[in-house]
Amino acid sequence: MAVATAARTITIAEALNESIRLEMRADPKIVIMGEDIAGGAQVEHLEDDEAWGGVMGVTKGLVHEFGRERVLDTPISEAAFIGAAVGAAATGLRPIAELMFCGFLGSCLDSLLNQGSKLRYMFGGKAMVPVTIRTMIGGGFRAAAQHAQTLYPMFANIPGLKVVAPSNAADAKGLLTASIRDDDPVIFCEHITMYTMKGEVPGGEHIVPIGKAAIARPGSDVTLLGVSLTAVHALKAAESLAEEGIDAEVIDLRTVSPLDEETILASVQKTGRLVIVDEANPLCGLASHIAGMVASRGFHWLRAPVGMVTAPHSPVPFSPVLEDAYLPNPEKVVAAVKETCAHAS
Amino acid sequence: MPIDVIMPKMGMGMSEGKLSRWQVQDGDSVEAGQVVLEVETDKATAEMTADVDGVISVVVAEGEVVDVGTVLGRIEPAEGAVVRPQAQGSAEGPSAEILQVNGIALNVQQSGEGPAVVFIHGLSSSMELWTGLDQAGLEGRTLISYDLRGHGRSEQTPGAHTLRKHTADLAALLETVGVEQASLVGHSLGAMIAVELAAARPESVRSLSLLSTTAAFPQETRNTLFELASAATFGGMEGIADPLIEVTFRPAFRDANPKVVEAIRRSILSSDAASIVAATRMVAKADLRPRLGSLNCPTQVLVGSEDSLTPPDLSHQLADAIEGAQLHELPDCGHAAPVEQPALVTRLLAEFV
Amino acid sequence: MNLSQDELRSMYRTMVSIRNFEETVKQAFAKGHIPGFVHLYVGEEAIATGVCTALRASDTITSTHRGHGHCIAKGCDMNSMMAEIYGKATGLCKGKGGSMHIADVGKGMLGANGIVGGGPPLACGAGLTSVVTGSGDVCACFFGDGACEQGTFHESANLAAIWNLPVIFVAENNGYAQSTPATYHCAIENIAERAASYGIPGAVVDGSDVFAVHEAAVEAVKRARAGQGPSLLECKTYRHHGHFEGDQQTYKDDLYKSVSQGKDSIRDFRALVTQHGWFTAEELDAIDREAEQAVEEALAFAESSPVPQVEEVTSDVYVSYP
Repeated sequence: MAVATAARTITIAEALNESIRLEMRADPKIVIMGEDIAGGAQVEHLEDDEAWGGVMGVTKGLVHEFGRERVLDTPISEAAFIGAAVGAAATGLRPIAELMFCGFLGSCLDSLLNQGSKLRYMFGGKAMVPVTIRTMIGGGFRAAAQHAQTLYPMFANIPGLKVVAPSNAADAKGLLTASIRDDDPVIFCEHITMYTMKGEVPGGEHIVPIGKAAIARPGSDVTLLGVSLTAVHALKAAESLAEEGIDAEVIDLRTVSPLDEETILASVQKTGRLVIVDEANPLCGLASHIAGMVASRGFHWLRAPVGMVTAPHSPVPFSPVLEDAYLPNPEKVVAAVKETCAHAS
Repeated sequence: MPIDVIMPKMGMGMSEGKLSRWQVQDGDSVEAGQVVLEVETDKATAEMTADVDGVISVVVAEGEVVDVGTVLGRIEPAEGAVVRPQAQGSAEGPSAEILQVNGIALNVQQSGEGPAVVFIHGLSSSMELWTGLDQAGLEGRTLISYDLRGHGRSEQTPGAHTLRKHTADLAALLETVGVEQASLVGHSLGAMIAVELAAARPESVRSLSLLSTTAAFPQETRNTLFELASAATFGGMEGIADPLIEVTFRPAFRDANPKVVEAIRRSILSSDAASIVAATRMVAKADLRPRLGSLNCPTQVLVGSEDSLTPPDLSHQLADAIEGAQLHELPDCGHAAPVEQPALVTRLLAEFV
Repeated sequence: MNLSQDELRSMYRTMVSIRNFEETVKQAFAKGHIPGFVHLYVGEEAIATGVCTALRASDTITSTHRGHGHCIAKGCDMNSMMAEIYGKATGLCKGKGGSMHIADVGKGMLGANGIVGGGPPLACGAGLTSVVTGSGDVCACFFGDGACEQGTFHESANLAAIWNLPVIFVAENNGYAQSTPATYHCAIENIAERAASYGIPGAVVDGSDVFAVHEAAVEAVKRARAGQGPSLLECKTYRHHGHFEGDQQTYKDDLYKSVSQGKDSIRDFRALVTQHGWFTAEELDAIDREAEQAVEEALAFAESSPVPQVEEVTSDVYVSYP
């Protein structure tokens, strides 16, 4: 009599909620903690059902089903609760912690940089830290410099962490399930503008393996590579390029660490051109790393310099006109592809 | 497909009504929501509105008295028109009234004279659940039914639904209508509320008739209910109307009674999603097992033999845990016993309450 | 005092083992046999000993950069410890952690920690595990006076208090955060007074008195195990050596030095138990010799152990990574 066994069209927020719910049912060692993730806990006039369920509503209903013992509102103490999630993971739980905005990394960096990511190594492989940190990335909400950052390159730069960033509802469910079940610490990046984005999602158990990029659109002339929202930008750009006779292949990276180098190289071998779309800052960033990797391992296949559409080396601005100029978008991708394709091969 | 305008059942006990006046002519174009005719019983009158934009044809003439459910007219929908069902309970029942009870407005209906029998419907339903019962068979009693908070025409209240709140509503309702002791007839969630009241205030409860219910759901069903609550949280009632109907009615009943099912579907769709979400979560977590040992009033447990939501084994466990409880398994019956087997349910109630 | 003869013997053995272990490490470091840097626990033995004898095997502890004593008190194997400090393949952490990250999760020792204030959040996590799994285990969280000025201490004490976690916060106040005196870095005299701001019990005890530490720890553990939440225990203590080996300790004033010399938990323990006739000096001497021998064995084990294979550089980063 299970209800959600067939695929349905649901939002990313709903897909994330479903993943957490199904996993928490299956494994009593899963707890979830974060600021407002129950929301209004212990406020008598609200009671459980009116509980907020996180600022984006992703965790709505969980406190009612699993109780406050497993759905924990935290004080605004990122250092303590992200660290506690790490400590709980090292001692036998499988916690999910929500770091509301990835910019709040500043308040809890030690827990991830020096504790969670390194315990296993420092202890000679005799510990594991199966924690999942869900965090919001990205601009577009006019949230300005501290609340609109895209920090997956910083996370990916830390050995011991895995970093994933889905671009659609099905992957959101499948990757979150894989992250929760993963025995290593996983930073799960959710783009702030994408929670209401709908897509077909398989019901019941659905797993998308960590570390596998997807060919979101096959093509032959140029490879467009994006992750999270920039994968969506790349797909839109590919559609308009098709109208102009350019057949773009789109890779949705899905996982930043471990990086699926083989899928990227195989595509570059096929198309000979690569344009990387990345919302993170460019210096020592994801785009430059991939460009370097391709230069190092696939230089002979390249027929043109690697194109990069990234945020500039500046904080995220507030004013809409400035933020729009800051962010990658499909038009910028189209322009970059045309420039790449204009190079004589 | 034409949409029928039918003689409504305006509350328990109504079996026929008079088409007192057509407000439109045969062949007129009508708009959804427009009043098209008036009906009356000896106790009330009501206006019927069109459910859809389209062209109406008259089937029953003004002044005729017909059985409930008789098709009075048909509307051929205009192209692309959307069906907008009548707001639930828009027809005024014989004595349906809004009463202030326990600080909120409850829709309550009373008829008859004699010892009180209170009917309590289940999750996502309303007092309409009981309209199929034969009032004549229950003569000599005061029949009281009401819409639970957040259901039907009763007030939608913010916040969690708890059995404590629903039980307090029922206790306050008895006080408000001046009933010291009543026989309680509850269906599904309604039966849970009845059990809670009997445990908390045994002096107020003469007997319990517990239909299609359980003391606690097995984990798998809890999961299903939580799934439904979550689906409605994000997607509103649309996403859960069909699953609710599937767990409520047997396939055979659905096939044989498409109109009844369609009416219930519309009623579910017009429900307040937040209330249903809250009530669904309450039902999923309910566990009345600690109460059962203390019940000491006459109790009968009724269950459909083909009930998939609260299957007979749950009712067996329930009846076994209540001292002296009788169990009746109703043949050819799913979860909605009062709808699927109204005559049998009426008879069992008449013999008991 | 509710301590059996066996418990007293075990306490004494732990204290002298720590003392011997640390003095041996000091010499080995001076000879250049130990890479990196080491922080010695000499002078503070009574704290780890008094607290850990109040714990059971399945309880956990978090530790500090000055963690050897905590490891020994929680039952870590001294051979593997010394090998780890030597950076050998046979070390507790295969030579990947070293002195500052020495750990044995199987023994409930959740790691020495190179980050001052790194332990308290982890201790909250261990406490949460206990609550969620219903194990009834408690976590003793050791940290120094320096860590008391880290935000993690405040956040964790508050989190443990609101979540009612079974955590015993043990502040080892040895008077200095590296070279900075506690009288300068801390606005109040007693760190334990901060407990009031989290609504939890706080107590100051003499960190050189293993019995006082033990008694306070037993009380705190009892509360924690009974679901009554965290406590803060401040142990006033003296670090006999430098912050790290090689520290010239120019910052220590004469008063500290003289009081420090007068505070010796092992000497005090010997005096007390022989005075009461619980042990003879000979019995204690025998324990001393056992401890010396065990540490000598540990040293020999470490020195003769192989270094790690170079291929080990990239192993143990993840459970799985393609």
